Amino acid sequence: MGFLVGVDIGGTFTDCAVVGDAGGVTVGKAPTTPAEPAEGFFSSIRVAAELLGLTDREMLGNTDRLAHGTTTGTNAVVTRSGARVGLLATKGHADSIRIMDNTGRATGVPLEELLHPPSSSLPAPFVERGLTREVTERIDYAGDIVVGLHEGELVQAAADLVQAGAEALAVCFLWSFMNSEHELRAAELVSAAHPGVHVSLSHAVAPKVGEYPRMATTILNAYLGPIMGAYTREIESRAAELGYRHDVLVMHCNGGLARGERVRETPILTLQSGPVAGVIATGEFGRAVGAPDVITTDMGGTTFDVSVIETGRPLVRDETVIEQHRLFLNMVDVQSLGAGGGSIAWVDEVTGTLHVGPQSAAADPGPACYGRGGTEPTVTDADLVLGVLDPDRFLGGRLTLDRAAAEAAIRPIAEALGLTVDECAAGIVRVVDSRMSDLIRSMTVQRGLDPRNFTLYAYGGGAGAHAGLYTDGLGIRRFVVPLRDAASIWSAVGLATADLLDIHEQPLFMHDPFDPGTLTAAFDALERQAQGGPGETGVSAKDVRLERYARCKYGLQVYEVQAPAPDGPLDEAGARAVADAFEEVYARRYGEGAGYRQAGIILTAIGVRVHGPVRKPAAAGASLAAETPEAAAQVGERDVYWAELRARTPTPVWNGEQLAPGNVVGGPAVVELPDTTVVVRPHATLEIDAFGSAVVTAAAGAGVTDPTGARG
Amino acid sequence: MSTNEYQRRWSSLMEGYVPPDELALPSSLALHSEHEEEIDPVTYEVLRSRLWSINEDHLNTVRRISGSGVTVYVWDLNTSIQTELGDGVVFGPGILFFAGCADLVVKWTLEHRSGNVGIHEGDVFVQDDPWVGTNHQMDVAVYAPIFVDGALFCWVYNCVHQQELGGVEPGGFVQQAPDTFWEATGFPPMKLVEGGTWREDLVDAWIRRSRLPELCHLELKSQVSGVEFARARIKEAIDDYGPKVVKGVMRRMIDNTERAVRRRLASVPDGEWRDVRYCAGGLPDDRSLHRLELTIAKRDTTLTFSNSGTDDTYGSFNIPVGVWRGSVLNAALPLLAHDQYLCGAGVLRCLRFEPRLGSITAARHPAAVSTSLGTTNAISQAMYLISKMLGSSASERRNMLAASAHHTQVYTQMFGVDQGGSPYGNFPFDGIGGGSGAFSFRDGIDHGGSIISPKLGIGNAEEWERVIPFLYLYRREVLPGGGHGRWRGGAGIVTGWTGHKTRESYISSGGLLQSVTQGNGLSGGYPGTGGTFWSAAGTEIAARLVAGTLPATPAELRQLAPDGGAPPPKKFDNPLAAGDLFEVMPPMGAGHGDPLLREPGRVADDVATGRVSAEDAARIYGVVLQGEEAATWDEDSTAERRTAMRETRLSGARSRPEKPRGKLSISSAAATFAIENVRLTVNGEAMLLSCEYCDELLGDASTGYRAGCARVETPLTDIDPHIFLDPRSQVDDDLVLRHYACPDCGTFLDADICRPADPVYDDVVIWGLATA
Repeated sequence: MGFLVGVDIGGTFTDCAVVGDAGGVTVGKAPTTPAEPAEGFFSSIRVAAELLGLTDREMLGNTDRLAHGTTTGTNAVVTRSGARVGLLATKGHADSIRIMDNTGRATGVPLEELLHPPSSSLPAPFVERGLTREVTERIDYAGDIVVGLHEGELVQAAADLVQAGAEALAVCFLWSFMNSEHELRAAELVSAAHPGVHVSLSHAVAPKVGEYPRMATTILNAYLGPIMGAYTREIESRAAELGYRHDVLVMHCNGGLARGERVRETPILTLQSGPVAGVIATGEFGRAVGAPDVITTDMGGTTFDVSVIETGRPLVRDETVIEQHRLFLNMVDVQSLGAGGGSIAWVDEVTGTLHVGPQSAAADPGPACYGRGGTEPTVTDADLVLGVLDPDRFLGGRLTLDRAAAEAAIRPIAEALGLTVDECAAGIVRVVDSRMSDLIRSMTVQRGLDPRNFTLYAYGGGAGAHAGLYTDGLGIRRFVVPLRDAASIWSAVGLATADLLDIHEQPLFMHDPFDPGTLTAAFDALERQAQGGPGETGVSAKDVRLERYARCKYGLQVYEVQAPAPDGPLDEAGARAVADAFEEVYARRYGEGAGYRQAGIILTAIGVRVHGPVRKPAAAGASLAAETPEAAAQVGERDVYWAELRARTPTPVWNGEQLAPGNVVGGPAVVELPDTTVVVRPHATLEIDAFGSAVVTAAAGAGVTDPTGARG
Repeated sequence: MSTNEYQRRWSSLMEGYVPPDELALPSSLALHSEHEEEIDPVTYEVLRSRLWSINEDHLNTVRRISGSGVTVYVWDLNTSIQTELGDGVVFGPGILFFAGCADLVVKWTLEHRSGNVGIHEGDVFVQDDPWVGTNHQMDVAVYAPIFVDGALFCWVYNCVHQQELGGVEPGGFVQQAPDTFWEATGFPPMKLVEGGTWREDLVDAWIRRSRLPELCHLELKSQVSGVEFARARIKEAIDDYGPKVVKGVMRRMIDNTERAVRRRLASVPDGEWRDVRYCAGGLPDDRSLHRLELTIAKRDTTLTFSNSGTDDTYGSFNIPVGVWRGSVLNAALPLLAHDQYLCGAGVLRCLRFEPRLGSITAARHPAAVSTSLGTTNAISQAMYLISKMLGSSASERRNMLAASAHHTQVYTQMFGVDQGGSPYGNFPFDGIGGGSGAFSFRDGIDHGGSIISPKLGIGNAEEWERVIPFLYLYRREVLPGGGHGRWRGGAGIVTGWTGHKTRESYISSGGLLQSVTQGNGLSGGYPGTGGTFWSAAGTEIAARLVAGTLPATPAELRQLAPDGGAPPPKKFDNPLAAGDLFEVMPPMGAGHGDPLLREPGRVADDVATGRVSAEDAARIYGVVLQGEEAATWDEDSTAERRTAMRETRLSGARSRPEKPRGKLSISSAAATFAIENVRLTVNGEAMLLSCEYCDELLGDASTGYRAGCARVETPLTDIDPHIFLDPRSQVDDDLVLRHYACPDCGTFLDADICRPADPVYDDVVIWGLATA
């Protein structure tokens, strides 16, 4: 068997993980090249190959799978550098993209803007006002054609748009997901007249009821079409030149991998694929080590991201919000909070209350302690004042922090609150961490999940220092911090080894009892369509599994719930099982009796998840060393303020790179690594496990009951 | 309980419930009132955020389970957490006037149900009696007590607009109701779930009156699931922090909100602000104007609201006193407490109410109250007047908000036979799809939404077509619709429908009479239109569609049906089957400030983007454009034209002071104001009022400024005959936009919408300077 290769382009480094025949992992790193991301991509491959004693050509020639997670699409959205999109809409409805159901101001904005109209605005649109055209055609809710497509108008409208500078076209007709005839014909006509112009069709991109989110999704898809098309073709051709003989796979935001052709059709699926790759990797790892229920948390400078993995499978939602636009996008549910190391703490002078965020000092000017002109106190400043961070060893010593500046920034708000600087710093940390607890609680409890049954993984520069507190608020006693590069290469490994996954869905409307014949025929047809998929993907056809599901709701309801459906030809019992599975999922999420059973059960869509398992790197860990770390691993001691002790206490500081699997460090302690700091609170212990991760466990009943230490 | 309780109960059900300062409670009800006085700021913020999160999840739980488009797409619901005595600690970002009713409902339940039937662990109550405290019978409260150690600790509450609860009109907005007996029966609080067990008898009673009992049952279930969810989450928080700390934080949140509101009010001078306006549409054939009067008396840091001067209850557009109070709170929350996370009780501590019982906005039983019109009237008026008052504070002006979408409520209730041959009743929300009003420092937000909720949406055409037998021929942006001003109101929409796949379907042309707009502009800005309806029956539309054409603009519909026109303003059964057409253009956001103060470059942009016509650029904004494409303007000609327009205003004024008072001769260190455009300067004993733009003296605190202004009157239709209906087409009076202009510089300082012969009233009387 050949290599499995995953390449993840991060903000600073591009990582290439290579999984060999025996399951060993080799990682190559190269600087990310934002202007020409393909450069960094192939550099990282070259570095990894060299580590294996091979040339890139030798390695790729013997590679079964080359998989990729890219931020190219996300960057294009954030920097607004996508294509100029022309919109073709049903006559009477092009304005939907501007009217936004009247919710554009209020969607996906911080609470402070939501509650204060003068502070809020509409988002900048992804289609210019002059680049929309309407076309005579109309289909109704049942898919019946009310007015046929006026082909002359369509051709003229498309020509106008291209003439006016449109580089890609989005076609969104009403009810196209119930009858795609007009959109398909439009694509034929447009492609014939304007070969090479990217065309996105709404029924293909987002086959769901609701023309505004479907239109927004289709427009954004077209917006990314040209960029992602050019990018994936370049990667493919260069990989082929280097002797790679299979499809280059790209990570999707739904957690799956798919071939370039699918990416070129639906580039919007690559949005957020970097963070999603990390989630997938964690899920894979959790499954491999027998802990398939996982919460992943990632705390960076400005945001805190959470996802939930249940029995090895990330929770996926079918809607998301990007730049205040509501989108239909099956996406691993990564929810974000505008809270991180850069979040600014402030005091409401009138009420004397402490707030953290939503304003952030971000990277520029950054926290006060960065010494780049920031004067407002941030979470990182609080960490520094508490002694959790070492001013000389932050980011492996790449940045020297100014402790005095951090203190000076915190002092005024401490005084306003009647707290000492230490108490105030502890309070800032507690406030921001508890908001993170709230988000995690919301994501689990609202789905009927108990967070205490999950293993929590802490990623990102800030998570190791804060996880002790945000898990405490949830009753989660254990968290895991992947160490020694593990965190940063995690995504690349995940890409190399993620299972092939794709989702095919189709609207279908039936009342319970569902007709077994219709259901079987519909599932069969969808499976045939789905099986066209795997191809040269590093997964052999015999390994591919198809998982069925159905979207159901109780009669009269609006929202559906997704539930598994049995394989093969369905008889009456099989059809019954679909309804039963729905009821079980429903009761778990909303409580027994919450649905209106008397109104019957309605099936609204079926889906098939294509799942092709890939061989995994060996999960066998290293053998364990002694519990007591080598003395040399302790690099010193410093005073750290612990809210639970209401005091500063001399606290051992360890060099995490010198801790070996099996070593145990009792709290309070601080474990430093080049990219993160792990805080072991009093009453907690840290153990390096066989996989090189730090596992931090709080003593039963420990809990930080006094958040600042100011009470008592 | 005693007869006394019975009498008080029935008095409240007849007059409208206003809670006493001290609730009368039986000693058998143990209250958990212990609380930590000293809450550290960190615990405070941690728990405050958690309570918000729980309450928001409660809201989402109800939406996820519900089957009603009104709940799911439109967010016509809200949730709250309330203290043991019912005071609202936190509300969700749904309908805000529910906040001002929630405390009434719980307090009433405490006073009148704690003896018989008792309030116990595991109970859930339901109620929809407007005189207890709900906007109209369809707004159903479901709420549950939470006990700690046998004592009542707090309440979790939701209120949802249930889609169909009976009454003579499907959907329950009974526009022709002379009294409440035509409407769905409102039930005072009932114990729906007793100790965890549903009372099936009451469920049957509740849903029996509905034309859609199954949907109604599902709505009840979603609401009960919501409070059960919230109850479990609150109990976890209590377990984590202890009841005394949680309660301490709740109290502190109320205290803090009160403090924040008082701080804002301290920057406003003591005085009285008044608004007098007219609305119309009390009954289908009513052609009279009805007076709504609101006064805010501001003393120290308390606001006293009075509706004295408001006409007697009439027809179907009344509200009980509790709803008036809720409407004022709806307006006050975003204007005075936007940064306090919707803590209603803290705001209410700073508000007093002096209702005139028996008036439109403080109706006695059995006045008809189901149409919700009184509520939006009251909110529009309160939002206008509080904003005007805030104009007097240099620091609080930023929070002013001119009349926004929905100010002149229209609705488009539909019923008939649906695509599957079953009866249906539903309503799309295009009637609220307008822009926000202008702010004091920027234009209003296009499609920026409603005054009654931060989240209110209008749903997708496809979502409505799935459940209503019609086609959206169009839903278009109306760019030039927002009110003119130094800052413009946001853009709105226009929607056209035709019936589809139905043998029988109807739409109401409902709401207030649109020619009598409630969309008053601020600080001399122009009003937003009250909207328009247009309809035509039995047209050739079906044949046109079959022939492959698709009339899909307002002009094309009028071409197709030249005989079409405005439907009767309040008719519940306009036909909307195949061949019938109906169009609604909802109200639009109002403007802020004199249009002559708008930067000419912005006006040129407005013309380029289609927001202002070239004609109006010259006629209303005084901007002289250059060239055909209108992207540029001529500086000198514009200045000349604006000067000439100011002169024309004064020379054509209906009245003006006989001789000028001259300029203010003294300067004041502090910038103080009576309203945004009228400066307030102390000179010895006198408080002088002057024009903000030219220092012309307008009067003093005893005379007011209006007597010193020129009165410039413009018929509403002169603003734009296409979007402002002629009042004479609907009522027996004329209405004008009356501007109060500086008699020297001609700047519009303020405006009313009134009858030409109406006397001038004092909109502001200053008693003393601001304390902060």
